[in-house]
Amino acid sequence: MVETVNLSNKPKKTLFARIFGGERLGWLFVAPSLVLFIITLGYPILYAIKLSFYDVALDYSEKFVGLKNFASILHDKWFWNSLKITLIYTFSSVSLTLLFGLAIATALNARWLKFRKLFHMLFLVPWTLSYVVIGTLWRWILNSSYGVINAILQSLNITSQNISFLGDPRYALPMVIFVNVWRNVPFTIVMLYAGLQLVPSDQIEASLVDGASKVQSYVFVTLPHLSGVISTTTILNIIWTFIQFDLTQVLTQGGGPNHATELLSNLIYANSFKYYEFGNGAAISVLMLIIVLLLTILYSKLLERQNQ
Amino acid sequence: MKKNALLYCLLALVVILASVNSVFADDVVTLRFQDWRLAEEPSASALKAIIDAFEEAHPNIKVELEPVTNAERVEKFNNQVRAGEAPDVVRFNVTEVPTEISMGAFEELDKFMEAEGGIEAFYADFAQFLVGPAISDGHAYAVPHEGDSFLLYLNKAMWEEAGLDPVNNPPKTFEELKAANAKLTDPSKNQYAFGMYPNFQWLQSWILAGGGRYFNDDYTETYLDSPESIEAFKFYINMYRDGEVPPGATEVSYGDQVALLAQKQVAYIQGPFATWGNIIDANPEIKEDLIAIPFPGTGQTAGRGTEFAIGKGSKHPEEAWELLKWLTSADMEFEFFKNGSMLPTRASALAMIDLDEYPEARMMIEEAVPNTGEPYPAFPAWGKGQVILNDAIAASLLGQGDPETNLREATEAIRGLL
Repeated sequence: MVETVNLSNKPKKTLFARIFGGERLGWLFVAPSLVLFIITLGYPILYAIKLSFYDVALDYSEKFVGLKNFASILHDKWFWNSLKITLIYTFSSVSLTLLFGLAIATALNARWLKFRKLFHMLFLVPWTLSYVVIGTLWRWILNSSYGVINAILQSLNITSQNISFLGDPRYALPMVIFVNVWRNVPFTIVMLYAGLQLVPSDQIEASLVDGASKVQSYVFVTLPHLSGVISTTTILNIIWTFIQFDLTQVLTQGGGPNHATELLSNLIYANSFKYYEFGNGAAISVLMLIIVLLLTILYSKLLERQNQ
Repeated sequence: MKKNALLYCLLALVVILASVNSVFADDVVTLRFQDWRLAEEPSASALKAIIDAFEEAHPNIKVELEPVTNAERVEKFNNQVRAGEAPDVVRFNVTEVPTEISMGAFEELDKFMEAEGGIEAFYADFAQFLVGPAISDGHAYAVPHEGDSFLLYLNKAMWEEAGLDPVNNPPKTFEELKAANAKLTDPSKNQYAFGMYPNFQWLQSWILAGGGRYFNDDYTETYLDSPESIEAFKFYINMYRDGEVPPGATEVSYGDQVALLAQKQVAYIQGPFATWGNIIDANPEIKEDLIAIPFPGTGQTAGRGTEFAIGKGSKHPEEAWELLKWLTSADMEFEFFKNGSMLPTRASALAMIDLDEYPEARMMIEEAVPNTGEPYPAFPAWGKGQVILNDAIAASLLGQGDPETNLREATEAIRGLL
């Protein structure tokens, strides 16, 4: 009698392996994040989408109204005003942030610079402060009656009267953009400085040996190497600035004077918690969500292209 | 055996003592009291003393104080109500009370008032213009706490330096005030006549002083576009446009307005009785020069006030009612007047004020309060209405459109809400 061995007889799977075997194991690992995501983001987003099709009364009773809320906000001049302000605010802030960030990162990368670490530390300070702190701080600095900027301008005889930086629509938006740039430049510096470290120095030296000027070398050798970091930083800055709320809420008390600095997020807040028109507030949120989703898709495509 | 018995006895004693202790601990109820006046002086100190006295008189109730900023309080409270975490006792401006009642944010107070002799009897001692907004469909939801009207507070020394005599010859008409403004304004010295805090509530007193008014009694019609209201509105806006007000009025807060007078950058501001205490708190040296005069024109101004309510879903409504009753009792309203610089809303508390001892209250009690033209608007849709009117004020101050057109457009929009 020859004893045969069944080679196909695999060891028995445990219950855990049977339930979570194969691809299902991956789901197990992402489950905690997924649950957290559904609770903290998924549910509020779905609820906001639902709310955008309802009229919510003062006693919070809800009545389905179809697309009425969307029609109402698309006919509201303050919605278009806020959209315009948000676009101006976003693209001005992001452009200036990139410009200053690039200039400062390049300066920090220069070989001749002394006290490099000290400068690094100083430039990072605004990034460590919250928008609420920054808003309060600059509200005092720019105050038309007792702000330090007005005191300096008058003591230097540059102005004869106090200027209302935050109460005059001609200055309010530029001031808010300035404060936002001041807050966000450090992040751009960190990203671009890291990118500059990776630019091969032999290529720069070769271009200089070949007769390129320093400016030409910077434009044609250094900048192309930074393009990936620049596009990532820019898209992230666009998304963050587009959805920003707290700076204008504190600095110009929700978008004043007379809506001159009112961003879409401030308008959502005003509709929901000042006018108690929750449906309208939700409808603006949904439109904002669509814009941000488009920006995020653009960001993902850019990342994909870089990886390729 | 004896040892074991002793051990069991000791163990039993410990268990009994622990349970007795826990029974007593459970008997202490903690109430949450939310109030923006807890974040301002001198009212915060006055309220804390009143709460301390309440805790002493009610050893079974502990009060947790929740100061909030004026800017965030309404949104915060409404979010707390939606989350089922409303504070037990909360203060609201009278103008916001009907909206909050419509939102179902307050507990009904009928059964408590019935136990005190009925709703009508309970409210009889309070200023009636504050009682109306506290009642909805015959049910009571709030109790008035402090309230008054408006005066002009001015720095006598600045007026006298400008050759004016505000004590014996205060401006009685809008024209006289305009002439005084011209003398009081000197931009080269960074000195202006009027410290403006532009908002629909403060504007209302100018409209009333000019002979206009906001609404009829049942809020079915608005008179914001009457000739008198429009003229008063133009006068108010032109004070800014003519340079009699410091630049940047649209960014001025109540605290800024008080600071402007306290720092002698403006010669006068408007305000309720509390403003007197706030100015002195900001600069005690100004006390000798601080006087109050009535508004020019009709002299009529707006009636304002605040009320306490029990937050929806309070776990301890009986104890909350005890606190609410304590805060709004005649004795405590008088205490709050003495130490918190706020005028009582109870007739019996007003009667306790000796005007020789508190001369700063004389003008308010004898002139302004009896001359109250109409109260702050208080109806559910006013939340949107006040934003519309504030927008019209801001646009007019900023030179965006003609003031009359802005006011007319705002009036039409408000009419649509009625």
